[in-house]
Amino acid sequence: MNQKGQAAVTDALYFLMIVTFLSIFLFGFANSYGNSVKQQINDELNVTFATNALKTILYSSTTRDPGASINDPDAEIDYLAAILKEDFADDQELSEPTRKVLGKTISRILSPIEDNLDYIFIITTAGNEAEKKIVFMYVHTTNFVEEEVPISGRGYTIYRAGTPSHYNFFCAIGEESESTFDSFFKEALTRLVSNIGPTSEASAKIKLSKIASDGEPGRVNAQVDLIMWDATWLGTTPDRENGLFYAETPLTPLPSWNCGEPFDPEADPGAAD
Amino acid sequence: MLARGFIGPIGDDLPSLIPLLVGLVMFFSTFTLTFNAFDHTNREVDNDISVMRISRTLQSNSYIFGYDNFASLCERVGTVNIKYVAGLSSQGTLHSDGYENVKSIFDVKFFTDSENDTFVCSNSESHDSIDLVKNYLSLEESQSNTVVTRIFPIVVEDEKIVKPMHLFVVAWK
Repeated sequence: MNQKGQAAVTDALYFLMIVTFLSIFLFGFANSYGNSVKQQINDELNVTFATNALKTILYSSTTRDPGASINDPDAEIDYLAAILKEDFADDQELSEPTRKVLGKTISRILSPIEDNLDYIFIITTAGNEAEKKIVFMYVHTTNFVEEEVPISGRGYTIYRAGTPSHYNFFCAIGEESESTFDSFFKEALTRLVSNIGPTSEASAKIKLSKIASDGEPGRVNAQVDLIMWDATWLGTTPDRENGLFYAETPLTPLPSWNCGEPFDPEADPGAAD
Repeated sequence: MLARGFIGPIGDDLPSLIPLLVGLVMFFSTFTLTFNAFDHTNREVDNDISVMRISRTLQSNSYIFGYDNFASLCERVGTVNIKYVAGLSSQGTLHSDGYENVKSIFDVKFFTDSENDTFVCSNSESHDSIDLVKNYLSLEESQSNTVVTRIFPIVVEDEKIVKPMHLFVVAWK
């Protein structure tokens, strides 16, 4: 009788063991069910947002006078792309007012995602290596502040948002030799994009105009790229000796990016609608 | 000797019943949890797909030629298994026009063009004026619903000016 009882307990323990494994499997299934579908939906949304943003930037109208409003009935209004072409035509560069108008338009169109995502907007001319050039580069980065957590022997670092929460920069400006597509793309930009994790990208071909030295108008093939990624620290870390965009603080981009002073699209008086 | 410990057919198997019952309780608890998680995720994905369908229809090619174009896109949305309000707003892009930059989805004000047409599309009744999201779904109502929000950049042609705006889609169930 004792042996029968022992056998019944053993059977029950085997049953409990099987049920435990089954429960663990079900629990794991419940936790992971739908994650890949949600990720795909999220990726699709980000790519759709990037594509729509690029179309919206390129289709938008703006005032020729950077200080005027688009709703001002007396303002002279034109397509933003037309103003870019016109400004580019004479010296194959964009002037500061045009950069500000474009930067402001980009910031406003991308304002719904500016707290979560960082982005780069680039216009590059196409052609052979010598002709390739960065015409315009606008970088939006979150102002992370690095803080050491005071736990001895742990070396934890946290990154919290500072004030202001973001910085915007016009980069690849200055000397032409320092802003060629080749030096940027192969070094700084490629390194950044390959280290920031998943990105959402959109690209479009556009045509710019140029006036040759003999006065004849010509066409320049160009490409517009918008790259967005989850806001992350782009400076140095214990595993990364050289920062991706800055070293110690987001306020000071690396010299190789040739960035100007931070641009505030809502405060700059020279860049209204 | 053996008969002295015998306390009946059930009493003798009582120790083995304990792990059996623990196993059954554990299994059915996990099964219920899994079923609920499965059901919840399916509903979330269904809602996301419905919102995606509405968004894609209204976005068209990201260029709205005017109110008639928007109204025809709105008709194409058809029947969906979720309540929604979708519309275009210039608050994020043209807020030097006197609008305040929108901080909450409930404060979104839809764009009204030069012919006084408001770019809004909904299968739900508005409590008040049709140009505010909070008149379709208030903060209090949103507490008892699952709310999904999507925003996409878009341009609208108004008085031959191509204005950058945002398409807001707010759906709830």
